[in-house]
Amino acid sequence: MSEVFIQLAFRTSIIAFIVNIAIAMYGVYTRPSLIKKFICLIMFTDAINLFALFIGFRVVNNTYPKPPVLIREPVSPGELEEFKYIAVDPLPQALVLTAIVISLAVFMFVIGLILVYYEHYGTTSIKAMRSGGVEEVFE
Amino acid sequence: MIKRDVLVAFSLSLLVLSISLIIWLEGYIRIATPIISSLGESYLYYSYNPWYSNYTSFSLNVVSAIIWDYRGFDTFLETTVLMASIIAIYTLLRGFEEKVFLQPKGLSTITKTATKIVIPLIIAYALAIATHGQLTPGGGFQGGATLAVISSLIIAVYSLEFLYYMGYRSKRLVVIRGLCLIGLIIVAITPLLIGFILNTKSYIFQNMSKEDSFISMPSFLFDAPLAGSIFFYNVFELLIVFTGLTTALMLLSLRDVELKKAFEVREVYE
Amino acid sequence: MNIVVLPYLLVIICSLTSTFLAYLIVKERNLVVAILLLLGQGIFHSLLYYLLMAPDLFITYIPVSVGITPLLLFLLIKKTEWREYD
Repeated sequence: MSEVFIQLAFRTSIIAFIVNIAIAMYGVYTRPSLIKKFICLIMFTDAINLFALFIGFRVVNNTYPKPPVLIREPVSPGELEEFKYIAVDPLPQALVLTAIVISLAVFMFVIGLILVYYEHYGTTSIKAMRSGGVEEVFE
Repeated sequence: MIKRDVLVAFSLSLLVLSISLIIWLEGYIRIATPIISSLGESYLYYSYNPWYSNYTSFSLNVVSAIIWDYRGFDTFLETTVLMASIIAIYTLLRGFEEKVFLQPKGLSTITKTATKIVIPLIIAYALAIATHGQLTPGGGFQGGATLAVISSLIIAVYSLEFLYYMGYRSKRLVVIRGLCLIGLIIVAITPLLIGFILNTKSYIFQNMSKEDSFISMPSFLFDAPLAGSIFFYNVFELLIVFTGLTTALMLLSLRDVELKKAFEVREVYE
Repeated sequence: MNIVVLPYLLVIICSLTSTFLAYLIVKERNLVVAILLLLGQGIFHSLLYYLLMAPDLFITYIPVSVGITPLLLFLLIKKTEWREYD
C-alpha cells in the first residue's frame, strides 16, 4: 500500500514540475513585459532545482529516509553502516545549493540591466521598445 | 485575477493529477528506489569516520563537507561569481553618489517597534547556523542569506537613510568583501605554507591528513568537532554573502537624486 | 509495518499548488500581485525541500525566496512600472 502511494506522489510531483517548466517557457516567450519575463525565469530555475533533488531521493523498506546529517557525535561503526544505507544522496543537494547562490547573483545583475533598459527607453515592454517609443503604442 | 484564469489554473493541476494517475497505473518511471549513486554513498560513509582518517573530514553535516572539503575549489569559484555580479552592477550604475542627509521616510511606529524586536533574534539565528555548519544543517551561505534579510527589513521599514546612519556605505562593504575573499585564500593555502616550511608534501584546500602528507587542520575544539578548515570557510562565507547581498540591495534602492549623475555620465559616453 | 502516508500526501498537495500558482503568475497583469503569488509559491517550494529531506536547502531557500527576491523585485517595480501592458 505505502509503496504504491510513494510512486503516485513522486510521479505527480515530476509531472507538475514538467508542466511548471512549460508554463514558465510560455511566459518567457509570450509576455511583453521584461519584469514578467524575469519572474518566469525565476519560476524556471526553481522547477529545475527541485527536479535535480528527485535524483537523490530514496525510500528503503517503506520507511521515510533520513537527511544527510549525523545526529549523535560519538559514532559506532554499525550506526555509520545504517546511516549509509538509509540517508538520501547528499551530492545533488550540494550542487543545488551552489546553483541557488549563482542564480541569485545572476538575478541581481538582470535587475540592474532592466533598470538601465527602463532608463533608456522609458518602458519595460518589449513591443513598445521595438516600435521606438511609449507614445506610439499606448495612445 | 479573473475567475476564468483561476478555473484554467485549477483544471491544469487536475490535468497533472490525471496524467500522473495514468502513468502510475501503467507503471512507467520508477522514482525513490532504494539505490543511490555510489559516489553519494561513499560521501555518506566517509564524511565523519574516525577509522579512515585519510578520507574523512570530521564533519557531521555531509552537505557542508562536500561543499567545503571534497568540492572546495568549486565553491570558491562560485563565491567569486557572486563578487563578479556585484562588480557588474557597479559597472551598470557607474557614477552614482551616496547622499547621506536626505529626509528619511519610514513606516509607522508599530512596524518599527516590531522590527526592533525581531532583528536581534534573526542575528542570533544566523550566527548559530553559520558557526554550527559542521554540526547541524546550515553553513556560510545559509547564515549570510538570513543576515541579509535584516538589511532588507531595514530598507523596507526604516528606509535607506537608516543604513547610512549606521555606517553602511557600498564602498566599505566591498572592501570587507575583498578582505574576506583574501581570508578564504589564506585558509586555503595555509597547509601549503606549512608543508613548505616543514619540507613535506601538501595540497591546496587540504583539510585532513592524506596518505602522503601528514598535515591537518584542527579537527576538534575541546570535545566538539571543528571539522578543520570548514569552520573558517563558513565564517568567511557568512561575511561575504551578507556584504554582497547588502551591497546589491543598497545599490538597487538608491534614490533618483543619487542616480541622476550616473545616467548623465552614460549619456556622455553614448 | 508502519505505513507513512502524510508526507507523500503533502508532496502531492504542494506540487499541485505550485502548478496552480504558476499559471496565475503568468496570467496576472498587476505585477505586485504577481510577486506576492511568487512569494506564496516559494513557501510551497521550501516545504517541498523539507519533505525531500534537504534541511540545508530548506534553510537557504526561505530567506532567499521570501525575503530577498521579493524585495529586489519590489524595488525594481517601484522604479519602473507596476502594470503590464499588452
